[in-house]
Amino acid sequence: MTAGRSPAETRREFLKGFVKWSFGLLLLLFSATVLRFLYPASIKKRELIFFPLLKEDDLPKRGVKKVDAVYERNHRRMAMRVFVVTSGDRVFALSASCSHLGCLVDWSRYKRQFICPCHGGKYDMEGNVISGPPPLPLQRMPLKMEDGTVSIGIKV
Amino acid sequence: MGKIISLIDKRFNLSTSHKSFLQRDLPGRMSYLYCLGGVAFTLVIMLVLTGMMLSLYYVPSENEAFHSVVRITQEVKLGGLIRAMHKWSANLLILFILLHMLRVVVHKAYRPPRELNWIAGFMTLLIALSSGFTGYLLPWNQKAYWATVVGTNMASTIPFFGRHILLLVRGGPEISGVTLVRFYGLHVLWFPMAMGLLLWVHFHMIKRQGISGGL
Repeated sequence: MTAGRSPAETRREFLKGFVKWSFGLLLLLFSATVLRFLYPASIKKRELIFFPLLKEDDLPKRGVKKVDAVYERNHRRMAMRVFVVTSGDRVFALSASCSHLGCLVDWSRYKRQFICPCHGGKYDMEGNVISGPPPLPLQRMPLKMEDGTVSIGIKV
Repeated sequence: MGKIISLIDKRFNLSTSHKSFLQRDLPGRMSYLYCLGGVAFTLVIMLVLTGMMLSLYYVPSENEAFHSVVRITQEVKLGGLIRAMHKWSANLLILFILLHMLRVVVHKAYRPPRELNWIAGFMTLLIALSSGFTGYLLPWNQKAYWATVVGTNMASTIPFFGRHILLLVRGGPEISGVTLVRFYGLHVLWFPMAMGLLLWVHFHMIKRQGISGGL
């Protein structure tokens, strides 16, 4: 017991201090949370990784070929659909994801257009938008040819 | 800190008026049930604080709303925590307002002369429910969208005016970006302001009238 003070007084002093410090701690924790929340998160650099897509012999001589590729990433099997297009002497790959809402587009050989089944977006063979809601052309994906194998680059 | 406070207090004499309230004698038979309203108020404070933080990342637009909420939960540090705190505080607020009401009913504390305070409290409940309803649309996902379709459809069943009320709430025949911005404005500006005003009235009525002696 502190000299000159009754037990009730010291008890009250203790409780007052306890409450004050508790609120102080709470305020500190909260401020730390706010700062952490507001500070920009570190931006992850997405790296380009190549996966084998098909044999060089299987490339289309002319026109569009649909390829369903399965690749493994972090022990998870991921599926993606791309269109490999040969136009003149150029070969390029287009992602099948519609730039509108991500539905998978289909190649219509008859109309010579990529058509999205969801909202009727249409793209030409180069992936440029002809009509419909898509805001951007189909995404082009980098291709790499090595030892007779064609690999496709994906940003992960 | 104490010096600054006493400097302000000496000039504006703030503490004496509040001391008489905060350090008054309470009726004898008090229990923790009298804290239910205080718990609800604490939840309101938490909702305001976490809501202020969420508002710095949320984008109330047709195209951006959903993605901004995904960004908050997945990319922003502690974003999931802040959003969860906002969501759970909102749920618990309704629960604690109802428990507080139940306590007041059981203790017959709604009786005159405190009937106006009951009304102010009930209006607070209505604001809390409206905040919940408008806030539910803001994530702008399927669940939010259809819940609001169903919720606003209820308004259209009101005889004669139903259709007009529906159009007024939605800002158009369908739920669209207009509805989203409308609900956002109500959720972050109108309702919190009304809530603040009502709670100020609520607490000052208690200050004037004191706590009911109970049963």
